[in-house]
Amino acid sequence: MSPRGNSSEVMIGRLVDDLQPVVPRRVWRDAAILGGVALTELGLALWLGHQRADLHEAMRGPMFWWKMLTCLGLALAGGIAVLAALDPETRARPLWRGLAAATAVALLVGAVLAGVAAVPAPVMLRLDMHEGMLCLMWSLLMSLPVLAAILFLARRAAPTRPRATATAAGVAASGWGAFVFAWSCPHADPLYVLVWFGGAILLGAIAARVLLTPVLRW
Amino acid sequence: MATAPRSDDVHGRLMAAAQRGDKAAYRLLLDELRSWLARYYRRRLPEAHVDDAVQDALLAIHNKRHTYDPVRAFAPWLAAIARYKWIDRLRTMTVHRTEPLDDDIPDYLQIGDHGDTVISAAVLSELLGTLKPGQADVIRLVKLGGHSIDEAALLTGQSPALVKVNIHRGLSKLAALVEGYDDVA
Repeated sequence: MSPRGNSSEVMIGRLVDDLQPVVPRRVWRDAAILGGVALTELGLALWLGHQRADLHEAMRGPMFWWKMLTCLGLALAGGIAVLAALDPETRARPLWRGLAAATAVALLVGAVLAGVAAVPAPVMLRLDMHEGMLCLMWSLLMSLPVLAAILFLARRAAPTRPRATATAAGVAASGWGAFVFAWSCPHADPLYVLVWFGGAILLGAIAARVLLTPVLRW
Repeated sequence: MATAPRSDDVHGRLMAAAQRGDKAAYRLLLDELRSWLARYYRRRLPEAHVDDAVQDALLAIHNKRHTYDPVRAFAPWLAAIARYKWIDRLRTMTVHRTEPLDDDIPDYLQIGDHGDTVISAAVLSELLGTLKPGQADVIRLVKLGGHSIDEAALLTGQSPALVKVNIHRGLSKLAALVEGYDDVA
C-alpha cells in the first residue's frame, strides 16, 4: 500500500473511533428555529410600540399592503431558498429562479400601483433623503437577528452552493428586517418604498453575498 | 418518527446505522467510499491532488453525516459532497502552486494508473477549453506541468504578474463554471 493510501487508512480508523450518534437534520426543525427567531423579533418590535400611529387608517389603503406583502414575500422566498440551500443536494438554478420570480412579481405590482397612485411632487421631496436613509439603516439593523439565525443553521448544515445560499440569506434577512420596520414607517409612496426598502433588501443581499460566502464554506 | 432507508440502498443503510453510532457499519461504508472517491477524483483532478481530495471528502462526510436524510437515496448526497470538495480543491489550486515531481524518483514510480490519467487529462482539457487561451496556457504550464511562474512567463510571452492574474482568474472561472453545472457522479 502507498504511504498516501496508508494515511487514508489511518484517517478512516480515526474517523471510526471518533464516531458518535447524530440526529439527522430535518428541514422542518430548521424552519421552526428560523420562524421562531423572526416572529419573536416581530413580536418584540410591536410590543415595544414600534408601529406607526395611524396604522389602522393606513391599513385601508392598497399601498400599505403592497409594501408589507412585498417585504414579507421576499423574506419568505429568501427563507425558503435558504432552507433548501442548506441541503447539500440542492441545485442553485431553482433557487435563483424562485428569488427572481418573487422579485419580479413585487416590482410588477409596485409599478402598477405606482401608476395608479401617481404622486404629483418633485422626486427629491418624494424620496425624503433623511427619512429614507433612516428607513434603510433600520431595515438593515432589523435584519441582523434573522441573519444570525441563518448563520447558525448554515454552520450546522452542508450548503454546497455558498454564494447562492449567502445571497438568499441576505434577501431573507433584509426582507424580514424591512417587513418589521415597515410597521412603523409612515411612507407609502411607491417611489420611496422602491428606493429605500428595495435598496435595503438589495444592499442586504449584496453584503451577505460578499461577507457570508467565505463563512459558509466548509 | 423513525425512518429507514430503502432496502436496496446498501450505502444508505450503512450510513443510517453510522448515524446511530454503529462503528462496524461506518468502517465498512468508509472503506467502500474511499475507493469510489478515488475513482471520482482521478477523473477530475491531476493525480497529485487525488489523495488529498479523497481525505478532504472523507472528513467532510464524517463532519456532515447528520445532513444525510435516511429516507432519501445515498448516492446523490455523496455525489453532492464529492462535487463540493472537488470545487474546493480547484479553488485551492488557485492558491497553492503544484510542485514538480522530484527528478530523482524513477519514472516507473511516478506513473500511476495510466487509464485514469488519460481520462483525467481529457476532462481537464475539456474544462480548460472553455477558458481564454492565455489563461488555459498558464494553468497547463504552472498547475499541471509544474513550471514556475517565471518559466511560464518566458514560454507564453506574458509578464509574471499577468501569469499570476491569468491563473487566478482562470481557476476562479473554472470553479464557477463547475459550480454552475448540475454534475452527476
